[in-house]
Amino acid sequence: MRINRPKLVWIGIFLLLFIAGLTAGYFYFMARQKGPVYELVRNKEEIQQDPDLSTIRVYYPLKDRLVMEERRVRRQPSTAAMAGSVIEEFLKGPSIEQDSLVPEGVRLLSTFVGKDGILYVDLSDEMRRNFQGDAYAELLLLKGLYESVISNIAGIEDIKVLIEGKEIESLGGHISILYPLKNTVTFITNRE
Amino acid sequence: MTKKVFIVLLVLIFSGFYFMAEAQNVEVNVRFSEGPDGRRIVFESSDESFIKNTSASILKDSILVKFPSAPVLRYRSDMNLDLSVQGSIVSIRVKEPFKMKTLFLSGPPRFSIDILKTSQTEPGLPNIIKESNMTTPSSIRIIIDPGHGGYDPGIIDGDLREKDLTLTIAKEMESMLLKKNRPVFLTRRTDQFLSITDRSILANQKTPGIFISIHLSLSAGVVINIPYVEASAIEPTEGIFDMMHRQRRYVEKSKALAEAIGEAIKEDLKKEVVYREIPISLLSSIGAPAVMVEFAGNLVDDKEKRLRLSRAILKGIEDANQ
Repeated sequence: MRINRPKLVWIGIFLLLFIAGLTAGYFYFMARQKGPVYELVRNKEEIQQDPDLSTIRVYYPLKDRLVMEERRVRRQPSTAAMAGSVIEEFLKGPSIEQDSLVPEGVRLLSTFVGKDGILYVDLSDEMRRNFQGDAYAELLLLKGLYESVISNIAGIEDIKVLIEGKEIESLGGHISILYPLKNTVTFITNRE
Repeated sequence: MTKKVFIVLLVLIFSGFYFMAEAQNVEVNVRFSEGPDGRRIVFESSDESFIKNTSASILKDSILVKFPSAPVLRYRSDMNLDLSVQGSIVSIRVKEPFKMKTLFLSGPPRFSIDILKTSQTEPGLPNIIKESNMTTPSSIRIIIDPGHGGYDPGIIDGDLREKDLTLTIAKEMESMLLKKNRPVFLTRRTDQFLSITDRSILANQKTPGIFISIHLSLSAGVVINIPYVEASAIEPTEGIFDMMHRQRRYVEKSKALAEAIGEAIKEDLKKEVVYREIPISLLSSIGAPAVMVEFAGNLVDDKEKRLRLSRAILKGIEDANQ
């Protein structure tokens, strides 16, 4: 069976229009589906291909959500040291400085992993002293720290935050950090 | 001929759009918890408009949850719930007599359904009403907790310090309540530091009827934080950790209190109110309905504004107890 040329043109036009409808639908609905919690912002700096460098994902608390950025850090020989590198990146804050909830001037004093798989993170007092935020901001700060470590480093069960080597009750007076963070911060995404 | 072609073109474009709409299924996570007063089912999605357009109704012995489109449900297979899905409608079968209460929450967007047992209560009366009949509302002691204090200033915005504002508001609320001869207690009356544990011990010692913690918020408008107590975390524990779960018996009443305060604020101040259910340790440790009210600094930067806000909060408390 032969199809004449005008018919083929019409079929072509119909197909194009159908695809246009599909494309419009794709962009409209996929844009709606974007969640408010995570947003990927790629580091604008050109990433050098260096075998000693590892790409990590850091979750920064920004206004009322966590924003994920990819960073390159030098590989470390131990879990605690690698966790330290991730936390150092977290403490530097996001590339978008405005609305960042990471307190300024915080230093990582040490990290070590206990026999129970809990990572102890010892931070300087600026973490408590320079924190400015409400209850949700405090929760996002802790969640960002937790997610940044857990999503990059295998073998860590939970994270316990210490300030100047001591246990403290809370960073900002809302959320308790007397216990390791997992139960407190994973309730938002604890779905399984 | 041209008209026919035009119609065909329109049909093709719309059908392409429709197929995409059908193909796009929103993922919804289902969480389930069970307590002495009933059960709670929470539908959570990252798509806020999807959750806001969800509704629930009762049909015989089932709850029908209607979503804007067919959702992709994710839930634990061991969840003790008789649930079936047909297109955009999820049906939940409830064997015993029940009452239903729904609530929308943000951060993340959630649609919460409380299935309350009615066999233990008078027919047609929610638990909170039965409870308030047993206690004279005017005899309920209201504990007001001004946030921060001492070396913990809270949020600093220019000359404003959260610890000063919360104390001023708490004292203004106290004087309003005292004029009505209502029992009231402030966890702090001066610029002093109190730990979360100190506040909890002080509040629980005073046999609280209602607990309100006052704070500032980074958000515009008003945020009301409701204590989050995970049902699966309710296990016999000891010491301070057990204390942190005193709230578990009062979570429903805390939600009702939050709703009443939120409605009063919306009505009187015409301000947006956001509800957040998050694990705030102080609220979790209180053996009474408890909420944390946070408001933007510009809502309380002069006395008239503060008094309006205080009146609205107290009206909400009264409404919750009627």
